Amino acid sequence: MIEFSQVTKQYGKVKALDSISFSLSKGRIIGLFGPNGAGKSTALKLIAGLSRPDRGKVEVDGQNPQAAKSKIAYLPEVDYLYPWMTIEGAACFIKAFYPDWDEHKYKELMHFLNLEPDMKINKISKGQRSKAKLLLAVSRRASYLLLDEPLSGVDILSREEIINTLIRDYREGEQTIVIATHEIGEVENLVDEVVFVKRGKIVLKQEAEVIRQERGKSLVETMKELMKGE
Amino acid sequence: MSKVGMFKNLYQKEMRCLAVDIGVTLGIIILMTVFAFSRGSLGHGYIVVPVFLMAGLAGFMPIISSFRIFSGEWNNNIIYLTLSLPVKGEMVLGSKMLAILTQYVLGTLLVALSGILLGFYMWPGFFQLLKLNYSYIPWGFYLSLYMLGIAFFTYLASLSFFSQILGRMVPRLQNLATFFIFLGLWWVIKKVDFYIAHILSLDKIFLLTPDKIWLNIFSWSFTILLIQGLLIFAAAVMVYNRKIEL
Repeated sequence: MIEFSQVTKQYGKVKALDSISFSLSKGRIIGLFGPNGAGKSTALKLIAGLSRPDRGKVEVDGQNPQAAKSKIAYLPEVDYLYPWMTIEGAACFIKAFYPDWDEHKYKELMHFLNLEPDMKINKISKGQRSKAKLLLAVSRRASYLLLDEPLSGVDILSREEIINTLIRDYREGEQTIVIATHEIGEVENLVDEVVFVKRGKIVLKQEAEVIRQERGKSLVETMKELMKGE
Repeated sequence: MSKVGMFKNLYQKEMRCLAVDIGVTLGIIILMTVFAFSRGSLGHGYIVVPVFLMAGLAGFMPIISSFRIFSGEWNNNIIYLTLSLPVKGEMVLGSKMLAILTQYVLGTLLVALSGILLGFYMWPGFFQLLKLNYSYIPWGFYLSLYMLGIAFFTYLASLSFFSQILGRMVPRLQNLATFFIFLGLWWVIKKVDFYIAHILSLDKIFLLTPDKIWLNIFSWSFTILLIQGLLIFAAAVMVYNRKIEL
């Protein structure tokens, strides 16, 4: 379980997260939705142990995120691989750190995503880079998979492939996937639970199905309603 | 995978990052050696000057690399990858330190080899002379000098890492902040050095054994530089583990 208790994170004068508390239960796909600058990426960085809260506490399975890094696969929005690396080289580098690396899954996914091991990171398209990043994150049997804007800047065909990969390899009940995005339409049918974030605060946290039934609206419409005035 | 395996993996990655720096350093040394060979007949100056220049390059380039290897990680967002790995600062900074030490050793050894080759080429009787005077050559002195170079380099590289880590904690003008932190730390440490030397009365200790004065100066300098380097490195690791974040 991921737990935020009274977490505040500030960058300069801007409060990225403002004393938020919530918990994300295990084995589900959770959407962390909100406009740009809402605090979604900051929340993911705190879970992944890349940032520390100014106040409050973040815990992953009762542990400090710094100590739980081996359980977490984190896919940032930015290109974080060395340009000189090939996909195979990046995989070799990453797998050395994680005992949950699944070589069979890696090879199968490589084929599924139409990638080649000898493709060089700086020679492939933005869509292929996004798929390569996803390949490296999903090839692990990590308990927590954190995806920060996984569809950002990716063409429609690659988007479909990325979503299909997530559906295909999701281990229901075992794995927790947190998707932070403002492009809700694409992942609307994927998520079990939703957390809407606005200016560093949680404005709604509910089961996706309950939102649809009770409000009679899609998640996209709900977000538009919640974020009015943004 | 074991911690050793992880460290090896990080080290190999750092070596790949330094491939261009190492290639340029070794390439320039080889070019200068070839140049000195081609001009060798013109006099000793065509050997001594290039060898000194090469030695300076072999010692200076790794310092530049120590800045590049660290800042490159931030400028290209690789820091996202590094910080998400389940390893601590000692491994991350340790692998960088070992990589630039490797660069230093490779460069300086190539300069030494180049000097020897030029000596043989310029001085036909060099080998004979070396053989005859082998037992008189102060090998210990040369080795101490080399070890002192390594200790000084470790100290400088640790200072470079530490100032860059502190510089990253400044919200703006991080490179400028790093530069001033580096100079500031250097100045403070030198002040502390003078103070320690004064308290321990090192000059008097050295004069007690005038026949071993160089050995004593080397051993003290080596020990002090190494200890300072390790302390600064430990401080860099501590700040990295506790304060560095995105």
